[in-house]
Amino acid sequence: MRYHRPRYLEDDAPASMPPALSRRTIRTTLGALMFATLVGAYPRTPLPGHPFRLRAAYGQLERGEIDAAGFRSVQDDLIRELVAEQEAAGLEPLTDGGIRAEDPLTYVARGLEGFEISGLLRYFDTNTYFRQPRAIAEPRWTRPITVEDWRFAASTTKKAVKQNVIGPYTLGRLSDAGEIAQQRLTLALAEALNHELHALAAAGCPLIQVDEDGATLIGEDREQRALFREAQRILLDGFGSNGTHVSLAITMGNADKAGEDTIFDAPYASYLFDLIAGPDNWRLIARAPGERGIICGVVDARNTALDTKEVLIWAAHYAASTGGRGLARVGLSPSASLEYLPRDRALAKIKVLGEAARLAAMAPSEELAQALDPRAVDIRSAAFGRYAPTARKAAEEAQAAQPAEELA
Amino acid sequence: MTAVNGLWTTSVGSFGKPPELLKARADHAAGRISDQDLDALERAATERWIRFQEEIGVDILVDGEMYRGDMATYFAEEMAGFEIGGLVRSYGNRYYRKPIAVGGIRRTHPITVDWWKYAQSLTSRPVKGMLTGPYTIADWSFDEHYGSRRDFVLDLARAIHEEAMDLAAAGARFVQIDEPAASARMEELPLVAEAMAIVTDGLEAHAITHICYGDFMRAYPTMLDIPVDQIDLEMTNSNFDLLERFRDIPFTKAIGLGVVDVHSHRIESVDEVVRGIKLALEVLPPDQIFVDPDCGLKTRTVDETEAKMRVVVQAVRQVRDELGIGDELPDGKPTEGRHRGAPVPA
Repeated sequence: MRYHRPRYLEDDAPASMPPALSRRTIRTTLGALMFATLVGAYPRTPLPGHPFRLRAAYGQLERGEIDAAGFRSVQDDLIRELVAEQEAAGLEPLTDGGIRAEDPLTYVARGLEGFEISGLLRYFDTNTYFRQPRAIAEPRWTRPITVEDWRFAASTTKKAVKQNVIGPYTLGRLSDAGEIAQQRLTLALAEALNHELHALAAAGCPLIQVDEDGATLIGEDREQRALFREAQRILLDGFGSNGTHVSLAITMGNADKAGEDTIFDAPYASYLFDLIAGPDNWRLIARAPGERGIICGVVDARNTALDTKEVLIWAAHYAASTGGRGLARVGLSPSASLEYLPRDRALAKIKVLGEAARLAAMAPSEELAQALDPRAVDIRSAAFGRYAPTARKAAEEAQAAQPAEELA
Repeated sequence: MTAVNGLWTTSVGSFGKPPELLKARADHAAGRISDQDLDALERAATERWIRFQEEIGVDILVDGEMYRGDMATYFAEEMAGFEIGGLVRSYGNRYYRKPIAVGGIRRTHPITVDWWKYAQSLTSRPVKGMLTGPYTIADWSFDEHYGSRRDFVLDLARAIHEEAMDLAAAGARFVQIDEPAASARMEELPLVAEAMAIVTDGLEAHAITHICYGDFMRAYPTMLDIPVDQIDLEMTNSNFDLLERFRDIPFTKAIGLGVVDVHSHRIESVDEVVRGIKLALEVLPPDQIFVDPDCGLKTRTVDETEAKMRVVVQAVRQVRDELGIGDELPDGKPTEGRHRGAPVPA
């Protein structure tokens, strides 16, 4: 197989290609063919043995011992630390770890007009909760919500930083629509969040990721499919040729039942799919238009067992082979937010992620061969993201590893 | 003699820890105080909560879980096969240490029985035995051993069954097996029921499960297949919406009716709580209803916990007086409702 520089990192990339990671910051910094990135959030907990300053700061803020600026400076320090941690692991684009948001829905809902914040709800099938936004009027965008957050994170590194924004379908679906019909709420949200996306683009954000986990709830419901498509079209109005790369991320399960016509209707430049909780999302990848980027969410974000880099590399190459896409349009990521893990495990996982992206981009070589275990890639591990030898094979391997004299 | 008894007051399990105990737990974790020092404070706080519940007139008491941190991690710490991992966030500024299954899970010793005996020794009113269910412990843990959720859950079910039987043998008439994760994955509700059948097999006590913060509308009526005598549900947080479903598909067990929000600092008025109880009385008889907060109160301060519990008891008293409902307790034996599952559609 011949390896080549990503086409959309080139200045002469055809105009028909998706607005590329290349056009702004990334071209000068992302030297590799492959990239690895977080879905968004990262643990805000400390590494073992370090003080938990953010948790203490929440308490100090509640007791009036520090003011909002003092609290923000603690968040700033943590964001610098997390950005550096991602950078050291070889990730790019980077994120601020979602540190400023109590949860992705509430943070944006508080920034819009038309919502009050209600009771606690479980986020999909996790043991993580969010306060449900309740619509009291048609939502309106009146000011940028995430732009200053992105500016700060971007100022802490020379690497590219992306900004996550909750998508209108998910926010509309998981909110209490109150007196407003869900359809009207969702479309109003799409219009409101379109302003947010334009504000980010105007600020120079090179990559915006729209998080639409709600797509896993659509299934075969025709009305919901149509609503999803319409919301994404409104959300992306004015994008496609303005130089900002807009990506759609779907985690928390399978979205394939919504159909490729639904998922790929809007002109997103790339798609991130959870392939651990949603292994059937491979069906979508197989049908994704070849000019769109694919980010494979194959590092298990919800279990501590370490992933094998062979599986990640296999996933990258498989995604590259679909639709004539090529490695230039493929990236690797965790399957979901890494906030479901303790910090030390998340760190171990992003190191594997960064290393896998580096290896996936290599031309076949002795180093690559030595770095990989060819036994590690099978259909089961590809689907579940984990290599576990059968009991018989494990026994054979253990026996083979014993010194010869012990076998005598 | 009152013709009908019911609307028994209780709570879901945990209460706010007093500041001196919170500090002591932090000191103990840092090695600054001994096990004995911490134990003495936990016992003192338990006694304080038993006295408080007696004083305000709660019918079925709990020990308040002064000696527990997270509800899943507490049991994992005491069982073979688990390691305790680092902190993960559950919401806002709340974190817990998430267990990791690294080997086959089994119970090596009674976990809660001594604490139950201690709490029960302080009062003549019944104290509930409080357990975390196998499905929830598995769901809130990482798995580096089983690779099969069912195998993981069923091993835990056998361990929790041993604990439940020991509680009943010690004299517990009410045993609650919390399954807050049960309504998160509809396709796994049969697994929740299968595991609970193991836990409650031969259990000579009133078996309760508590479920919260999930999609009740989708989980109902399948949740009725869980073999317990009573299902305790968070209702205030979800605006009592589920009650409407009972008109079409009757609730076949006793219900634990959550009537105050445990995640809000605001103290509900007695009138608000009375309204919630009366909504339930439109679809269920009083002897099928236990009244309590939505969930454990451990995230509230001591003052907030006390205020919310007082409102619950006052509201029940008002409704009982108004409707002539008595407070004689059920006997704590298994009921027909334990095996009365979801009604079969005609």
